[in-house]
Amino acid sequence: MRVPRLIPYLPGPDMTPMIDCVFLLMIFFMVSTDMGAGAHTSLQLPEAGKATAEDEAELAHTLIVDVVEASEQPGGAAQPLPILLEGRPVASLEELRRLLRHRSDPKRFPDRAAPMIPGTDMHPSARRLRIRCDRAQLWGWVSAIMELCTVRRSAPLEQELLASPMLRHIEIAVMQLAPPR
Amino acid sequence: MKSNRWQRGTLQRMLEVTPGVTTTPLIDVVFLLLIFFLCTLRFRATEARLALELPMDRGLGGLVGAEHQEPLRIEVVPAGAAKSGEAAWPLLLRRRGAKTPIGRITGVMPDPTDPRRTLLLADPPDTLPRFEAWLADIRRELGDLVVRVEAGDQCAHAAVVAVIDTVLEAGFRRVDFSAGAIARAAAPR
Repeated sequence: MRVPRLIPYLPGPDMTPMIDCVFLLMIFFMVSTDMGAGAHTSLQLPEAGKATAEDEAELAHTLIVDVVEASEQPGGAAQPLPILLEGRPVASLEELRRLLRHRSDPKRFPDRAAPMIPGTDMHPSARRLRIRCDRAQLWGWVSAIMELCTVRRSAPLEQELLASPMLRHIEIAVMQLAPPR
Repeated sequence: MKSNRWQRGTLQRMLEVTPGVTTTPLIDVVFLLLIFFLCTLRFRATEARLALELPMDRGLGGLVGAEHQEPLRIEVVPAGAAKSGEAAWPLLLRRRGAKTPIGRITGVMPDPTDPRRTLLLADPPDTLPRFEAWLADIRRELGDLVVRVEAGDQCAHAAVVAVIDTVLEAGFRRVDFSAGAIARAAAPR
């Protein structure tokens, strides 16, 4: 009886190596795909040579603000600001300030290494703010975002202690440029 | 004859009950997933950062007042816009390979011994490497000043980033900013 020899001659190609390859490709694409929130696809970052590489460990504690090009604004002309916080558009700079304060919460995440806010016993927030601004966009947005992170002198201090995000660590996202020398 | 028929019957039975699972649906699903990931693929951007520390006590422009030290002021104005009556030297910023400049820098260097005087630059730099060399000379001479970048709201972000980058390259560590008109409009009076 030759029954055992019948099995290797069954019709159809051997699928095992192909499935191996396909799984390998799938795992590669799953790992290399970035689906994190707040990362806007069509942003063209400026270039800088003095930039430091991003720190994956710090990324979890980093708030991300995107400033997109005017034509890329999610709500079109109806959307007044080209600014997105964690991928979601914000209506006004004051709303952005409120949302940043909510997330930075200097009471819960104090940066004890930093000097205290003068006249108070509060430290600034230990969280970081990354500003990802399109290279063609106006600098005014970036300086406005940085300004609203500070403790303003134009408002009463007690009010600012409740309203200011007190974000001290600002990162301006750039593309790394190889130094020419 | 009889044994032949027996063998054919066995073959049929063997083919019907071939051991193993059907892998076709599995491969279908896997290919579907593969195509999905191929389509949604966006490589993790090689993104870097310029790390800055904002002064917390006085809003923007506070570093300088806090330390009673005259800053090195670097003014960045949008390309094409020129202020009259200013001892300024032009520095055009071009994106690599681009013809049209994206910004122009005017520099006013106050003499630290006499704030009313302005140092005149014998050799105004007109390219970023020369600007950097100029800044490095100032740093060697006067030490680690606060550099205040006064950039107009209408400047391109790329131009200001190029200036900040050059300032950092020259070795300065403390960079300060002045609040622009957008920020002033948002802040309560």
